[in-house]
Amino acid sequence: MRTQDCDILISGGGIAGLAAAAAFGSAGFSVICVDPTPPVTERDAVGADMRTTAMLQPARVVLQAAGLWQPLLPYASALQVMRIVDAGGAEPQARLTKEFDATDISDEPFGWNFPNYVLRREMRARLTALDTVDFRPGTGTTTLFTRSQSARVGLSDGTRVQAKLVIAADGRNSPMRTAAGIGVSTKRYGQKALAFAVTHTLPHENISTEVHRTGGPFTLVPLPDHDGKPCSAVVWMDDGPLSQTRMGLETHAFEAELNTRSCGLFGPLTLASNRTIWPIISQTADRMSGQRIALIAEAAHVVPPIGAQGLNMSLRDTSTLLDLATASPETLGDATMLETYHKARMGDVKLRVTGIDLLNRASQASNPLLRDARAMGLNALYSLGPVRKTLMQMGLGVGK
Amino acid sequence: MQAHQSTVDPSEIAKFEAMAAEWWDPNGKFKPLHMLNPCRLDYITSQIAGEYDRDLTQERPFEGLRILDIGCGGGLLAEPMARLGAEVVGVDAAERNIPVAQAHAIQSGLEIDYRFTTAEDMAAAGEQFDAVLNMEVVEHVADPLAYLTACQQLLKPGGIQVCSTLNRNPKSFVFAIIGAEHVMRWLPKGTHEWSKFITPDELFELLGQSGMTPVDRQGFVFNPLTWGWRLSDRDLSVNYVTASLKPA
Repeated sequence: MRTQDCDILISGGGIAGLAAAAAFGSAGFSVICVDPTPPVTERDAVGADMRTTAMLQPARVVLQAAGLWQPLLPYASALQVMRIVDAGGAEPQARLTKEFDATDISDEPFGWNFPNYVLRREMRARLTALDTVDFRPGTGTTTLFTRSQSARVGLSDGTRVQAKLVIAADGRNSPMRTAAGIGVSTKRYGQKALAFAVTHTLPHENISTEVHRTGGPFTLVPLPDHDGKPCSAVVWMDDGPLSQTRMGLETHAFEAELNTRSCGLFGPLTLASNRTIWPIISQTADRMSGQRIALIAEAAHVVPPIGAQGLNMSLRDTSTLLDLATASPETLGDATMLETYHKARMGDVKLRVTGIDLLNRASQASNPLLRDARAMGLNALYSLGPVRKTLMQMGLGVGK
Repeated sequence: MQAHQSTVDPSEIAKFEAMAAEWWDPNGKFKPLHMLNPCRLDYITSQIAGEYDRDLTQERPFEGLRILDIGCGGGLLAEPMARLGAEVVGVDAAERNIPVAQAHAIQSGLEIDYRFTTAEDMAAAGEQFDAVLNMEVVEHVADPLAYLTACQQLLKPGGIQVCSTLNRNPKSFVFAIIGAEHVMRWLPKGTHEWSKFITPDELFELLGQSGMTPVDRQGFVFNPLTWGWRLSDRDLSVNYVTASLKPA
């Protein structure tokens, strides 16, 4: 059987896996990246990911090192203001609005927002340009066998790869994590999220808006104009069966519900893409690493889509690994390096998963008293300048 | 093997069967080996299965593999390998072990090719194997590099060698010499010579010089609470095992 050698085998060609491949490839490591599903890189294709990703400030450093920042820049929408609206009263009306302004903490925006299909397209193009990276969409992993000096991964095309390090970026049900015998603890909320794009009449002015109401937040994230109209990406979290029903509604009926829920912000909303749906969970792997394997992104941690934390945690995983790898390339993937990675990331991951879990449960609450307490709590928190700054900096990952 | 057996005196066979019973008694003279054996087997089978993509849940996963067990003794490793479907040759430099192992294999209904010979002679004869088991031998030989070179020559390209031995440090002196030989009397006094013990780094170096690529090392760790052995990738301080590959 043919065995191919490389420094790093990345299982998973989602955004986290592609970014890791670009980062390690740019640093001169030989990388093979496999994924059973080829990335969907067109906006209106079946299976296109309608979600968007906010790259917060620290993520830019990783993307620059990976040679991705320049090609992505033309598609960036700056996140200048984050607005939180509480609509938790009896009727869906905005009753309390608070704004975080990026100018409070630095002279840069909080981050930059990108449609996921654009991220995939540009990352894929970058991998093609790197001769250190061999990207194999349509090929999956079948087996993992690790030894103290290397890992061997069987691929679905019948070949196998021997690598110094395996990076599992293969999602919340990570096959490589399972093969390595690393367990997870999972919390289910009974919520599902819908993601889609809308056009509207009023400009978004680069403001990201979260409208909180029983069931979960409704978030509008600025996108570049579409067909000459202002455009936003929406993530709408609610009880699973409600979301499932809305997923199947005809466009007209869906837009009616949509406009009730948005409280009329930005004027009438018009659906401008397919809809996608996925279940909301919190999940943490028991360890961030095993013999010759490191977990990153959703293989290691899953959080509800709140506060733009998910992918930014993933990029922090990648930058931590990359720093360790470049500091000592000859010990890539050995027990000491991976123990250091585990210790460096586990605390931060647990803290953020716990924090986002609390935020999600607060925004899910249906008890009016709890809801009002949350509104008061939000109001109190957001009115305190220094606390606000600390919260924002934590969210940005620059406070540590 | 059958032909060979017919030339042996029946009273001799009875004697060998008694000795085999001794080898295979889990509470007898070779108790320490029996205690370590599940752990050793676990390591050997997972390394061979991993190397040749064999599924250990199958009936005879090692079908088609030719395995050499050096220092086979009473056949404690050779028999499980044969049960897994491998074609096994067991060699021992102690002549008396050979009829003992043969007698037990016959009792077990297994066909194993036991020979009174050395790794060096086997290599000189041009024998080739998919896997060489080299367990607790290297610390007893006069010239480890010459011995490991013979082991390397015995492998087909891409073949795997599993080699275990004892580390050389104050702890291994206390445990392997004082503990096992003097206090527990697990092993006869003088079984081991501490100065011939080899550290894991030295063994990797020697394996590399012999033409092998070392790929794994793990410790066999004795737990006095459970009175059993387990594998550890952290603690190689006394007994340890390595896997190495012959470049394809």
